[in-house]
Amino acid sequence: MKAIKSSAALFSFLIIALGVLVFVTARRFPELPEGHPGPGLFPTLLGGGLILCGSLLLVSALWSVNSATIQLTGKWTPVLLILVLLAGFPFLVNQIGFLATISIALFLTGMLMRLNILQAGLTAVITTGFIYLIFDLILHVPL
Amino acid sequence: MNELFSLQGILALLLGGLYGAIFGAIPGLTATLAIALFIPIAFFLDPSIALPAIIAISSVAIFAGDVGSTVARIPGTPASAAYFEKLFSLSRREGPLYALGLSAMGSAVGGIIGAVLLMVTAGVIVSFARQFSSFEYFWIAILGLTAGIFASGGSTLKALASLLLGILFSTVGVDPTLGYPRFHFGSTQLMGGLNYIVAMIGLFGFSEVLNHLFNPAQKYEVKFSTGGSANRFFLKPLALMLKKKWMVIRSSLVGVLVGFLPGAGADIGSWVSTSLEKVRQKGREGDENDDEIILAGTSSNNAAVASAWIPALSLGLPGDTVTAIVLGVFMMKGISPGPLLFDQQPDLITALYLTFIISNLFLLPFYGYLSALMAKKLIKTPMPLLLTVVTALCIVGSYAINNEVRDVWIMAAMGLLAFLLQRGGFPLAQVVLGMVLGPILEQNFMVSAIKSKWDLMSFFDRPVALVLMACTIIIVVVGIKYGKGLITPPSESGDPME
Repeated sequence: MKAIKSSAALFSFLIIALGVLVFVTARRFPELPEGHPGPGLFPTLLGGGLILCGSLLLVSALWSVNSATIQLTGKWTPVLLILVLLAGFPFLVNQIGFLATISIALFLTGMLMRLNILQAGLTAVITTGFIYLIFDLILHVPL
Repeated sequence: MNELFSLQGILALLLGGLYGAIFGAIPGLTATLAIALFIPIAFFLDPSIALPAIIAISSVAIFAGDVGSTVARIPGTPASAAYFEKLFSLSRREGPLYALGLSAMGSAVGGIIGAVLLMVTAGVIVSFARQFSSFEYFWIAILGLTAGIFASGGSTLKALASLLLGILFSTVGVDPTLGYPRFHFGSTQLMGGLNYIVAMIGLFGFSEVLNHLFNPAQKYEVKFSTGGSANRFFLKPLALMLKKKWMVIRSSLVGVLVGFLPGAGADIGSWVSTSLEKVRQKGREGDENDDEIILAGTSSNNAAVASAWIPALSLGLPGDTVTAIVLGVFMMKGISPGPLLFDQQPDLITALYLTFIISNLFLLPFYGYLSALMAKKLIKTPMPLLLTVVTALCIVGSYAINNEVRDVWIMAAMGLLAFLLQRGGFPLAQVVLGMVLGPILEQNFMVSAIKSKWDLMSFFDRPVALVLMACTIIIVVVGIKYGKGLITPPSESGDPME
């Protein structure tokens, strides 16, 4: 229960932090003539709303008996690996092209999904062929 | 309208229905995901072809969500999670053909009732909406956002947080009223705003991939015999429906009413109808009760699919995530949803109505029967294989919209955000609602305020605005009083445990 509560509190703190960031940034936006609110009005209200919402969530997380909707136990490594893979995707596209990059990305994704090498390889090749057919040949999207 | 009955149009309906049937039948692949992954293709198609395909996909996918429930006690979509245990036990007693027949026939009738009401009421709402100014549109947006918070069914605070996040995303880029760039972090790409479709692909497509990697689905065994015949699929369910016609009509109307609320849609419609039927049958036990509860759920979820289009078409407010995505496509194609759409694109509107009728009258029974026969094979498709393909579609889909490879980053970031929000029990539909209604809210507020020289009392001067404000207050009061308990849908992931 303690772990669940601290996870819920973490979510609440993140929302409050985002709210503060938005609020502070929005206060720097210019005002309209005669002191009327300008483009910063809505972001300021949103920042305030996030701070309030996060604070109420924090209170309810700390005092509530049942906060069992927080599920942070699982396999983080494959999640992080696929994110790293996609972070590097645009750089690799510039070097070797879209189709080659996506086939490599799919092979690695298949491995992360625990397909065996043959399954991952076949899935990558067939899916890349399908993408080429639909998007490049039929829809004329330059890949 | 001619396009609908052309070879391309008929193919779009048939292939859309087949695609929806496959997606809905596989647990974890939702109707919203099916639409999100179809958008990059729809983007390059003529709207008169793309829209019928989208309607066919959503109508059939919502029904096909029951295939997973029938075969393996795993609901294919959040909408079918409302009654999946009843459907599973019915399939064990009576066989999958009868169980899925009941689901398909209920869905078809509910869908037709929803479609007829869409045809009748959309025109009335449009003629009413022609008198709207920026003040009324501001209150409409407030009404939609308020309904979205309480329609989530889960924690109101979490729904509010999701909604605020969605509105915040809509403020990225150049301010539509005053032209001032906001939250672009020096990126010219973000100056034009967060691409709506790319965000949707990440929120609903890539998040499923992350969910599976984080918590790989457990293996399950499939044990059932495919006994029965076409009669069990068509005739027996129809006989029960005739016997319980008033219950079916009542559930469909509940579905229509809930589907009409922005942010609610088929998922909530199904849960409300099933809950109401359970409350009505409290104290009565028996197998026939299971059939009635299933009928209530299936008829209301497809009725809600149709009615979600009423506010989307007539006011530009999305009734559910599917219509929210479609509104995004409309905007990117330069089509403005709202009263003018009925004047500018009458053929498109007629084709849309006809598609609903065709989808529910022909596609649902046809693909329903096909799904029942294919259920056993479909359920055996390995999830890792499917999600590898989904990853590919997410990448190519986000790239293809603008031919911008860095959009893959935005897609991945939105997927990660959705994954974290789901872990914390925050609803995703409200993020989409915020992204769609945020600009409408801000633009109409700023225009109205500047027009009235910042006399904020002018927001309360007009009679229609006052009626809309009163409706908002009623929703808040009813939402606070009855919001929890009766409406308890699962999260977007379709996991009833969440």
